[in-house]
Amino acid sequence: MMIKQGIPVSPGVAIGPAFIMGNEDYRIPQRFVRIDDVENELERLDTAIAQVCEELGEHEQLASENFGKQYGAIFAAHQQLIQDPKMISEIRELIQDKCFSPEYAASKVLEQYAKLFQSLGNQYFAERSADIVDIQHRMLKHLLGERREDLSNLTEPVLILANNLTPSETANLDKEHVLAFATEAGGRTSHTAILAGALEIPAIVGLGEFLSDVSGGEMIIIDGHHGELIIDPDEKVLERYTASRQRHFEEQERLKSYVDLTPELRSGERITLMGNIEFPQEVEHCAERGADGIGLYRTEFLYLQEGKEPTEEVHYQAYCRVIETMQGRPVVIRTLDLGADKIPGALEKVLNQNINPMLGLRSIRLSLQNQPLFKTQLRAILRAALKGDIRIMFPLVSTLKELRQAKMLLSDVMEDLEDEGIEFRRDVPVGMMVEVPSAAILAEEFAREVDFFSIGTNDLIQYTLAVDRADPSVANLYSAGDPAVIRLIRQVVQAAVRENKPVTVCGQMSSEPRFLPLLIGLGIRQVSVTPAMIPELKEVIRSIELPHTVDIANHVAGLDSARDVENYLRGELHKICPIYAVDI
Amino acid sequence: MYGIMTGPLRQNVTVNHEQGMHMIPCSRIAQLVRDAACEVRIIRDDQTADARNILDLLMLKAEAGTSLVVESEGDGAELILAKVVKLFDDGFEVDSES
Repeated sequence: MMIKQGIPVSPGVAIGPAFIMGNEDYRIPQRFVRIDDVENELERLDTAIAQVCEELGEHEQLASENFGKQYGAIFAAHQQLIQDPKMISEIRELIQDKCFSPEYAASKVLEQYAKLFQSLGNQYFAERSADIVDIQHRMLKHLLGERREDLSNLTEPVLILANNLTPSETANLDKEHVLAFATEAGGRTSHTAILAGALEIPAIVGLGEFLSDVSGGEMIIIDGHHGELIIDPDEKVLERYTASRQRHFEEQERLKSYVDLTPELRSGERITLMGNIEFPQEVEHCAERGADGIGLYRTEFLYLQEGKEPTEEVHYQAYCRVIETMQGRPVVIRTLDLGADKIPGALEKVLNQNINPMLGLRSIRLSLQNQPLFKTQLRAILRAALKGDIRIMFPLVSTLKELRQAKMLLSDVMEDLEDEGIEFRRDVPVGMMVEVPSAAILAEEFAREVDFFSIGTNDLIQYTLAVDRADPSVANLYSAGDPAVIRLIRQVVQAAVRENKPVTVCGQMSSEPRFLPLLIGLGIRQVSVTPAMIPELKEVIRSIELPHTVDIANHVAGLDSARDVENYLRGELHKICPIYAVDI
Repeated sequence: MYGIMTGPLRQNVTVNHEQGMHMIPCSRIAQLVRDAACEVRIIRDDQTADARNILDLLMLKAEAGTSLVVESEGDGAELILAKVVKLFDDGFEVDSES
């Protein structure tokens, strides 16, 4: 038995066989093939080589155009390398003579060359072994890529283990057969983690290296409450977790009784409890739990899914589906919030060289610099707004100038639509995310120019504390309980109240039961949360009185460390709703 | 005398590319000779590399200033030899190829 500790990102316990998605760390799932499969396997090798060549050709062209011919030449060299007749015949021989799988054969041969280069005793050639490794990875990516489709053909329930899952891979996990997942990389609020919550399956990220300690099919436990991955559990542990899983199911059943209840405080104040969604299909999770609307509709998935820019029609159809399901309740659409860190494809590394993507071209900045892309989305939103209560929200606004530019573009789009005789709604409310400290500091000025605020705590915490939320080595500094963050939220609420503008909190913070009373005490009356948390938060809301929340907010104002704040809030939650203070 | 190949053609070259025969120069040679009908070899002392084979070429470890022999044999040997030698003379400039 072996226990690994990671970051829990989606609660629940799952027990079952491990399924290793090996292509991220280039783990070879199978070393040998059957002798009658050799011909097919050789064909698979040829296909993979052809695919790699094609891919490298594209990279060569892209790199030459964007960065100059000398960069393109690197990919051209890789192309020659992978077509090297001697190397290919060596790989083929291993498949033919020893029944090695193409993955294993290619790795063997390439590793040999990499080692040879390293031993040449010349710095330059030693560094070339990295090129060989790169080629090896590309080959494996293509060879395993075909196998990866197996994931959608799963027939048995499994627990997925991987170095990392991309957002689209996460989104495409088949919930029927994928009981949980755990990854080596990733942080609490990485995109993959957010999607795990959306899928509502237990998940752990940021476990560090562990894939070499486990093999496919081995019995594992993923504990999404505590972030523990247990490999090959002993009988006692297995028994304990089976019981814990049972309790979790029972708890879910109990919370179902809250679906039809109104989220109001014991003292009577109504709290607007909305859901955050990313995929259109998630809207059903919200509707069936009685959400008051969609407080944050992240639209990035539309961009990530296809690997290319979605058309206006794709946007329009997705928005219409969400609006129709919400039957008149508000839907806040956040415009594109992609960053340079999420630019798909292999040029990512080149593009990200020497830049800090979180401080770079992302979100509204990217939209303002790519107006055709931005306008396509705005057109679809304005058209879809005819069907219901749609609101537009701009992310990552850091200056008033940006906000004004974005609003100007929105007017331009309206003019275009009018000229083209296309129907749309003109009086769509326009709001902004408050997630950069500059926006929080100038909240009063911003409040005069928008219809609403939504505080995005994930980024606000990250930018206020200068902590990369995806970096496990500093993740402990990232806390919603930090006094600086809480003071900023207080200021934003006060500014919004003075200008009579509504303010929502839509970050992960509002989905955590212990923070909700504090937020209400700070004056928040609208929150938008992970859909799965709606019943639980409703229970918290219905268990408190307004004066108590104000006391909590006042007490927190006097605390000076994130730890004290978190401990205090945990204690208060215990008084309000004892069930949540105990670790489930 | 003309038109009948009696043996391989040879020409001496010197590596004047600053970084030596690294990945990109080797790939340019391999690319150039890949579809040629003749054999092309590059020789350093007692070590011979098939010019189609980028890994073989890399193994020559030819740093700047190294003397090499380019050898070709078969159909179109003369033309391909001239092309390979030109690559060396031009220092494998990225733009040198037409």
